[in-house]
Amino acid sequence: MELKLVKVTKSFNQKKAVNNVSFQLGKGVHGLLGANGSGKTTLMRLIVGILQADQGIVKADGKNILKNYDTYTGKLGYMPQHFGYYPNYTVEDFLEYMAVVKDLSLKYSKKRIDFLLKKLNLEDQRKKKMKQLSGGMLRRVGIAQALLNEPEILLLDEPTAGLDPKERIAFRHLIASLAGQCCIILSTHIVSDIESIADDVLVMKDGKIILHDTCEALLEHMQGKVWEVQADQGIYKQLLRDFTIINMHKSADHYLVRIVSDVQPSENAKLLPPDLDDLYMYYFKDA
Amino acid sequence: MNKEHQLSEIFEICGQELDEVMDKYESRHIKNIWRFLKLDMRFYLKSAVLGLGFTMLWCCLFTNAVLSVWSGYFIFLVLLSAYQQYRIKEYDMQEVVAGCYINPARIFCYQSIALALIETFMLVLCYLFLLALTPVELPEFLLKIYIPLCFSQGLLLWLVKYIRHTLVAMGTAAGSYALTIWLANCSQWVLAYTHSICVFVSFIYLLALAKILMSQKEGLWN
Repeated sequence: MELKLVKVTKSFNQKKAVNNVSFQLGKGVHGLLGANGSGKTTLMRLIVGILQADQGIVKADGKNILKNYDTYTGKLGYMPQHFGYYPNYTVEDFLEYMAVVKDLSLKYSKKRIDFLLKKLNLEDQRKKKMKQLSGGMLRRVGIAQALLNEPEILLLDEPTAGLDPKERIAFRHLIASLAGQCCIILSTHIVSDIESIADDVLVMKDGKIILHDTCEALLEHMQGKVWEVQADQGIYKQLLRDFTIINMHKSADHYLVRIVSDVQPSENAKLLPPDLDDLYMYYFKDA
Repeated sequence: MNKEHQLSEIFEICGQELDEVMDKYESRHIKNIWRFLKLDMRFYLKSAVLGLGFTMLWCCLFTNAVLSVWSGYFIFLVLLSAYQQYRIKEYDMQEVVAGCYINPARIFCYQSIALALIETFMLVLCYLFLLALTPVELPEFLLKIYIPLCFSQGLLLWLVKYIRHTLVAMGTAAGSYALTIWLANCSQWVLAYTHSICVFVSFIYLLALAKILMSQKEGLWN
């Protein structure tokens, strides 16, 4: 399925949360990267159809999603940032409830729930109540409900919030395994979530998509902007004041500082290969 | 020949696709709505049946206050229905079901119909029980039980979208029920007037519902 946004704008109280956004996405993993408040969740809700755009159209396979909404929802999987659930339902009951609201048949939903519980390592939790699950397990249930109808468009809003590193890696593997089957939009402000799995990245700032390209091409933009400087305490304090520091390592008598800057920060500064963290800090240093 | 072969292949692929869709989605919507209500309203149903058992027991124990006991049971039902219609907000489920076929608007619609049917059934049951136990006059029954129920449910249906807390939802339901009981004791004319407004609002609500169902029929799956 092909998803296309044409000049989509959405305002709240005169403030444009999404401002004239246009892009076209096909199958694969697409990272939506932006600071908190940059408009990612509003954009996701516009794509889901929960919000209606003030201007512009969201199209799926060339058709306005709002004109054929029931058909569109059958092809959609959505995991919101704040994932609500009924605490007294068991995992199995909750997934069955979600299958019913997605209009899935009994036979199909039973088969699919069994499959997803196995795939997401939730089989042992199937009879547990939702209120007894840990944050990571709840996220997995959230992903399972989004995948119930084998969606062609999968929208995941901050899916790794609250996950430990091991769960994060497992989540990345899962998303990578789904990449060939559907169009996945993964909204996050955590760079490492998308660095290794996204086919392309959309960078959102102040409601606008400021960059849209593959990770490699985006990093190409950053060539010559990432520096490493060895500094004593005095110079370090000056660097801290004048430049955007990505990280710092302190050893016995000096500091090793990673800086993102258009100009060489000091004479002894060495150029480094950039990563997405550098790109994020370059664009969101004020956020 | 080649063209015919290609056409038959296309028909076969279309047939397979149709079979998959038929297998995946529920073709009978009533069946799906029934599954939904069984899952969504089981707490309400269990509590309503349990409450009914207790009410009948109390009626046998306190034979001189049968009408009050039943009136109390219907207040309990109204509170339960307030909770039922509010809990999707309480647990933040609106967002996660918003992108589904049975979205919050349809949930509200199906729940309202189911609650009305259950309450009507309980009302008939109550009247038959009262008739069997003690001679009760229909006007008194309508004034003390039926009209307060209609009024409080109607008010709740209208107000629930503005309510942001479970206690307020239940308080509104109980308060409106108590108000109608009080009105019943004050003036039957005021009550008749209130009831006619309820009937009128219900009529408008049903018309709106019919319109929604018609538009759903036009835009049904594929």
